[in-house]
This record gives sequence, structure tokens and C-alpha cells, in this order.
Amino acid sequence: MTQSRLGFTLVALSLLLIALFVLAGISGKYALSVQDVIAVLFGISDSPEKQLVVWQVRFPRIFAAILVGASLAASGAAYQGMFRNPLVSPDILGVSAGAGLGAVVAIFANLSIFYVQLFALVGGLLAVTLVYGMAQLIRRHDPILVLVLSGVALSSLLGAGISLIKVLADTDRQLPAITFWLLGSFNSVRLIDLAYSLPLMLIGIALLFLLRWRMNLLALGDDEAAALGVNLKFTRIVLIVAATMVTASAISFTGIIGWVGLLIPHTARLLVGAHFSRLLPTAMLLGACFLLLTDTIARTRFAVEMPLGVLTALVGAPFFLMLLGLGGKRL
Amino acid sequence: MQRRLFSQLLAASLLFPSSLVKAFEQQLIAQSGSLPPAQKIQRVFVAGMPALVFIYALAPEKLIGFPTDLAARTRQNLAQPYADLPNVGRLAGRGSTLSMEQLMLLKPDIIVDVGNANETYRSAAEQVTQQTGIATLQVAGNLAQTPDQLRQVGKLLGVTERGQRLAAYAEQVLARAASYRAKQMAGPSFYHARGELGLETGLSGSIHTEVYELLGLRNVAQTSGRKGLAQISIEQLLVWQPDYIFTEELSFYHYAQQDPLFKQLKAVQNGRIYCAPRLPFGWLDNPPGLNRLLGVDWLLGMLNDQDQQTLLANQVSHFYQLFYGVSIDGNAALKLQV
Repeated sequence: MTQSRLGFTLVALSLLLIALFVLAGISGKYALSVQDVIAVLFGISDSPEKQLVVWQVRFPRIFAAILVGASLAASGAAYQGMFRNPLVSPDILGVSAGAGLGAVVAIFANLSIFYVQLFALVGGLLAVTLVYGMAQLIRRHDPILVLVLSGVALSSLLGAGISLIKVLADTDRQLPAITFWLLGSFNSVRLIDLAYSLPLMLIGIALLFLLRWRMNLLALGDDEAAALGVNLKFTRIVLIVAATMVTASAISFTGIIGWVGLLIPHTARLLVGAHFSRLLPTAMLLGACFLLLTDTIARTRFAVEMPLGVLTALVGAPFFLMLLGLGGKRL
Repeated sequence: MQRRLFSQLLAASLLFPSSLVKAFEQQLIAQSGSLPPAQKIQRVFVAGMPALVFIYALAPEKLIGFPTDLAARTRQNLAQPYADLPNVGRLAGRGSTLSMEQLMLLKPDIIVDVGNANETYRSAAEQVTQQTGIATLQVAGNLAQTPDQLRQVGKLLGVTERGQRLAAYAEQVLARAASYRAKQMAGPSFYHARGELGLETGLSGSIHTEVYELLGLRNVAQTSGRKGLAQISIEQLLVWQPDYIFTEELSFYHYAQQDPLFKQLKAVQNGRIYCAPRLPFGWLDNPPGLNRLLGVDWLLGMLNDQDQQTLLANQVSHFYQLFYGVSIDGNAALKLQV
């Protein structure tokens, strides 16, 4: 792939994102005309209610969708490269299960929303730390394989914890809250949620960008990468820290959103190939577009919110199969 | 007995399809296995929370235990000695928290389930009876049918007189609801806020908003074909602009008064957001049992802009005494938001 074709793809995706951004900005339950939105953005609107809807409701939600979409796609792309496995998604090392258990415990203990989010974040980080620690103790096998298997094992253990709490929870109040949380949604995103998760996500994404050249070497296999002078252990740790930070902070305020981290990187690969420095920006833009589109549908199409997990699969799966059928670059 | 009923239903449905529907409607009580005679029923196992509230009101002396761990504050608002009953687990098909063997060890004379009257639960009850030999009483019907439920089950459990007394009071409450409903051309609209951020709600026609609909209030959350719980966005709520917001979540109630977005809602600006007490059982929603009769009077009180505070307090204290066996000052009970 030539540099110009990559440039073309990135520009096209950026334009698409801008178009979706404008579309999302002017659509919503609360009727706002284009002029209304522009007036609010330039600070010349005289309606406090409209200002609130734009600044406190709609834009936080749009930014959240863009950020979370880009984050999940970036960490998915990084993990698939690092683990040299196309079936890997950002939650392979237990971050979703850990965040899920954290949130569910907080809901079960009747804690406030602040603690639900905090527990989710800490749970996600702890789970991955634990998986990494366990994998370090087992030295007899391929380190990558051990990592993946430890992640799978701990995820199912934490998943069992979630199931247990579901059974014990109050069926009228807590169980619905747990179910909705696990389905994932942007419906209650507030500015403050963005304020605390944004730094973590940006740091994580920046780290992934800095490591984009080394990522390609990792994909060659451990021996080759080591021969080329890559400090495998260090690179892996940084990658895991970065991917976990973005995923955990995203999940903490949106709940679990599947699909994006798994299939968006593949779609990006079909467009620009597997070279990580090309793949990363493409996957991020694509993830942002995809999640922004699905969330705009989720909040405008139905009177009540459609769980995002349902919609991402509904919109994404046919699209992905179509791409797969049409060919393009090899996976 | 059951086979005969079935063949009658089948015959009726062939001749008059609409009578089948009616036959099912009339049948509030279904049972699996054969019930012991009323005087022999001393130990009742309640399958879930609605059944607990029902039996606790009707025949607390027969309760074996609670279906779940009740919070300390709930127990404090129950009558002694029942407040100290153990948690023995619930029976809900796959969601059961006790095994068939544990159930048999408890030696209940019957199992009572209230509310869950669809085919899934009915067949599950059938299975429990086959495995354990313990008869199950399944009480169907909605809140408006509470008086009939109380009378019929009261008779089967040998507490006919108490059943009558509770049913008579329930009828009075329902009559108050009906007369309010009759006076309204189109009832005011409401939003039933659930969850910490108030963005979870019961859709129109769901069991979570039954008490409002008895009063003829209009649920802003309507979607055709769905009746369960749903999540909505604050943007949607700003469009709906309900006349009233009701909740059982005290933390949401406080949050809504502070949050700049919720303050844009006319209901919040007009002070028409109210938090219902939740003790010993939820007044509006949780669990979906006869505990919601309290919500009828409470809602009427709030809709009258609290003009008749004394009347409401009296009604509340009467209900507590009659149904929960607890003497409490009505005004104190009205402040029991958790």
C-alpha cells in the first residue's frame, strides 16, 4: 500500500467522522435546529435549556462515543498484533470481567454511581494485573500462550462471581441495574464522566502510538523480534498497560460494549493492511465512526434506549461479513 | 380434577373461544398437587417477595422464613416475632436459591407463589410438586384483584376472617383510586424514576407502574409492544416533560434537585417530584405485591399537593397496623425513605 492510498483512506474516514459528528449533533429527542446548535456553540443562544441540552447531554455523549470507539478499536488492534491472534479482543486479559465484577459488587452493595464507576475501573485494572502476575509465575510455556490462557481462566472465574451476585441480588431493584450495566450504554454519560476518564484514555492511546513501530516487530514472533533488538518484556508490559488503561476507563462509565474491539481492527486491516502504524489510526477512526453511528441510532430511533451491545452486533455483523466477502487485503 | 377442568376449558374454547380467555381470567388461584385441609396448613413456604408480603399480611404465624436476606431497616418495621425469621431461600425455577432437598427439610405444608403466573412458572411449580410432594398454590392477578386474592387464599389457609378484613380494607383503597380516576378527564402524566440516576423506568402497562395506572395517571414512557423496564436518556425526559416524577430512590431524589439538567424539568421546578417511602416494603414498585396499596393513598396525597396530610398519615398508620401488625405514627412512616 502506498502512502498516498493510506492518506486517502484516513482523509475519507476523517470526513466521514466529521459528517457523522454533525449529524449526531443535530439529531436527538430534543428538537434543536441547526441554527440552535450553532447558536449554542458560539455562545449566542439565549435559551439556557438548549445550552444545557447541547453542552451537558448531547456533546458529552457524542464525545464519549467517539473516544470509546477509538479506544476500544486501538486496544483491540494492539492486542491482536501482540498476541498474533485474530480472535483476541481487548478483554482477553480479563479487563471486562474485572470491571463487570467491580461494578456488580458496587450495585449489590447499594453504593452510589460514583463508586460503581470507581469499582469498575479498579476491578478492570486489578484483573489484568492479576493475570499478568500469574503468567509471570508460569515459566514453562510460551509466554504469550500463558498470558492468554491465564486471561481466559481468570475471566471465567470473575464471570462466575458476576453470576453468583446476580443470583443473590434483589430481583426487583439490583438485578435490572446489573443487567443494564452489563449491556452497556451511553445514556447516562455526563461531562464529569468524561473529565476523569479522558486523561487515562489519552495517555493510553499516546503510548500505543509511540509503540507503533515496535508492534510490527512483535508480530514477527518472539525470536525474530528479540534478534532485531526489541526488549520484548518491556514492550509487552507497556502495551498491556496502555490497552488496559483505555479499555478499563472506557468500560467504567459505559458498561461493557462488545464487538468494537474485536471486529473494527479486522475491518481496518481489510482497508489498509496489517502494518501497525497504518492500522492504528485507521482502526481508531473507524471505531469512532462506528460507535458514533450506532449510538446515534440507539438514542434517536427508539423512544427508549436500545442496549448498545445489541445494536453494535446488529449493525456491525452484516457490514463485516459483506466486507469479508468483497475481499480486499488479507486478514 | 385438573383433567376435568382442562377438558371443560377445551370444550368451552371450541364452542366459545372468548369464554376460554374468561375462564383463565377468573381463575386467580391455580394449584399443583392436592392441598392439605385448611386446619392442617401450619407451615407456609413463600416462593418470592410478593408472596412474602402477601402471606406476612394474611397469616404471618404460618411463615417459615423469608425468601431473601431482608435489610435490617426492613426487619425493624416488621412485627415481632416474625421480624427475626431466617432467610430460607427463594423458589424461582433456575433462579432458585435453595435446593429441593433443603425445601423438603423445611417441611412446608404448602408453597405459595404470588404474581408469577405464566406458563413457565406454572410448569416449574408442577415439577417441584412432583419432586417433593409439596402442593403449590399459585396466586395470579394484578393489584386490583388483591381483595379476591386475599379472600380466596384466606379461606384455603383457614384464616377466612382475617382474609375478609384485609380484603375489605383493600377494597376501600381501590375505591379511592377508582373515584380519583373517574374524576379525571385525562389524568396528569408521570415519570416513574428508578435507579441511581433516575434513567431507568417501567414502561406503560408494566407491573412496575400498575399503581399509577389504577389512578388513571398517564405514563410518559410508552412504547408499543413492550411492557418491561427500559433505560431512557435525560434528553428524552426533557421532551416528555412529565407533570409529576415519582421515585423510591432517595439518592436520585436529592440528585435531581441539584442536577442542572433535571432542574430543567417542569416537574422539578414546580416541586412535583416526590420520593415514596420504602419500608417495610416499597410503596410504589418493589416488590410488586399488595404492599403497593400503600402507594395508592400516598400518590393520592401527593397529587392533592399534600393538602390532606393528616388524612394520609391516618391511612398509613391504619394500613401498617392492619397489614403489617406494626403500630407506627403515620407521619413517621411517611418519612421512612431510605
